[in-house]
Amino acid sequence: MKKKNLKQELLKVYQIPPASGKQDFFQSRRWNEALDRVSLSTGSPGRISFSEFLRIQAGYIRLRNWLLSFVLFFTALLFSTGAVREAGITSPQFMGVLSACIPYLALATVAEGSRSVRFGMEELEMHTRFSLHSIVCARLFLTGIVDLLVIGMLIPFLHAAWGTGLAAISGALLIPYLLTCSLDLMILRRLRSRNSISVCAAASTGISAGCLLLSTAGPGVWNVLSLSALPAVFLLGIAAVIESKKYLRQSEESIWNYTSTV
Amino acid sequence: MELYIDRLTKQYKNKIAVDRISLDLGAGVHGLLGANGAGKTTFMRMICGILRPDSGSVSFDGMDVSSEDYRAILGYLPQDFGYYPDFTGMDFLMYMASLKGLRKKNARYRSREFLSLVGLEGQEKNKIKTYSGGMKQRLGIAQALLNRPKLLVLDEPTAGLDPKERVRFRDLIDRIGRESVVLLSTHIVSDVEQIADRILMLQDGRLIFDGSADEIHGNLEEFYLEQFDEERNGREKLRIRKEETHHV
Amino acid sequence: MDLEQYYDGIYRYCFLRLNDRHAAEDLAQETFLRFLEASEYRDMGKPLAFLYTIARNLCIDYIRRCSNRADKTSPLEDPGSFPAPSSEGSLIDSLALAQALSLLDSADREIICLRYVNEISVSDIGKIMNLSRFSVRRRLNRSLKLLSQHIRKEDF
Repeated sequence: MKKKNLKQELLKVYQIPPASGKQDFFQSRRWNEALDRVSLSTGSPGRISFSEFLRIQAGYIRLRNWLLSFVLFFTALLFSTGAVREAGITSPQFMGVLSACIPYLALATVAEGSRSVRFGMEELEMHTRFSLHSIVCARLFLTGIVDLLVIGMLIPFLHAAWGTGLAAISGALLIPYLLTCSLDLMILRRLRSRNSISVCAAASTGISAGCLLLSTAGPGVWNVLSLSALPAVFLLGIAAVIESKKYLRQSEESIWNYTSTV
Repeated sequence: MELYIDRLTKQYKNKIAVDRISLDLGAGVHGLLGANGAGKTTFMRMICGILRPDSGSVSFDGMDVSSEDYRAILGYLPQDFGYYPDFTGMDFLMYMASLKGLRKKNARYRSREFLSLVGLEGQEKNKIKTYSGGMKQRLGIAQALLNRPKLLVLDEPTAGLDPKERVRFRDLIDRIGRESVVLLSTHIVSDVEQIADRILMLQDGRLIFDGSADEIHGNLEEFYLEQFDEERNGREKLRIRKEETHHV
Repeated sequence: MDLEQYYDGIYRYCFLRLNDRHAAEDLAQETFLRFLEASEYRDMGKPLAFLYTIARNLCIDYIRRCSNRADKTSPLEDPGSFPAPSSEGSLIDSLALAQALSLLDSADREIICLRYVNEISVSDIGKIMNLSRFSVRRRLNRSLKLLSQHIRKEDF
């Protein structure tokens, strides 16, 4: 007898009816009151872990954020199909347009990380067990990872489809992304107000326009940069990490606008 | 159960908002009275770990204010709070519950429980933007209670509540105060008179009175005004004296 | 620690012992409540073995209480035993397995069910039944051999 089938066979033999009271039980007064008596100390069953917290936070990230990543990804794929390429778009033009879109991806991520301040939730979010620091950390981490995944998947694909050098594509995608992230986070940190996200939007648009201009002025600028783009990516990567850290450190500190009430 | 505050101080530029306040608070309702700008909110924010003091310390049963364990037993209603757009009352409570580390099922159970406790049952599916000021305030109170806090800090909790809601709130706080440390601030004297077991008065960042309403022998409101008059008179005298010395 | 995920398993185990849907559900819930009460429980690793141990003791107590009562018509056997399936209810295909299972002793049946119905690891079964990992494995292998021998015989 196969061990795999044994479970099915045993279930048949014993004919276990399905449990019916699970949902009711975990919603019942009896269970919840018992849960209340349990201390909320580390490792107790009443308490959720950081990984569970991350999963819950992922559910609170706005749908449009995920959508933007996917739209960008699939549009890039679509425009790389043979038909479009034959329509006369050159590789440098394509890279120019794509790199001009990237700053908005970064903006969406930063905007997600700064929602607490924008909607006046920071004071509430600071006093809870998972405080603002963890929340901002979770949001930046989750959206940032997805962005980098999208970019990471695009790089080899575009290399195959367009024949552009890997270093040139990495530069075209990562330089605007990391630059926008660093700049926007710095803006948020310096101007802590509910409207600072519009300043970020302006900055991101500036970078986007810059990318577009760069590609029209000298077509193939990313190709020309090629290998020298890699050190720039590296440096901007470090800058982005430093800016994120500074931003996070600020979120565990105090309220900045105590102007309303002292 | 004890909240221990030791020489807590906070200074903004050249204004001392909280000036070396030391306190020991046990279970019960403690009313913090003071005019606007007396330092109540700064004081409460430091107790909630939101604002870092310049010096001094806050701890609850040995847990430091900056620890996760401290925040796990804390409930706080800020003077003013926002919410993410499109949140319903229930969404808001479920979100806060997740930050407080509650499991989903348990969070839903408690959210329902506290929604009915503050009289918002039936409203939980409505968007918060459709709520009145009083409803939003009651939602804020429900949020503070979600983790069944041992330390409950409420900044101007009765703001926006109508008289009927105030009575309900008073009963609720009275019940909670039997097994938790409750600290609530207000600038309405009659609020505190009825709810608080112990009254703390704050002026210019200093504690000018600490005792029960009975100790005042009579009208709290009068006493309160007297305190401030004395203070004002004191300052006047000081100024006059200074002017005199200048003249000389 | 998400306890809810263990509910179905615990219920299944209780049902196997008691062959009574309501009693099984009651005892499963009681298991979870007892677990919380014993919640000086702090980072003892996975709660699985602890939950099953509680459930097992509750089942044994329940069976003992029932059989102490005057009516001996209770379908439950002596305390602590793990019931064999009655071959009446089982389908034709499973008849051979049901008969083979009734040849095993009750502890072996319990081990087989814990391992293959609830898919619990050998070392956790050891903790639940207070046996060494080796003896659990030895008993499992012996039972599996017996079952497959019996079933092959039936096939002819």
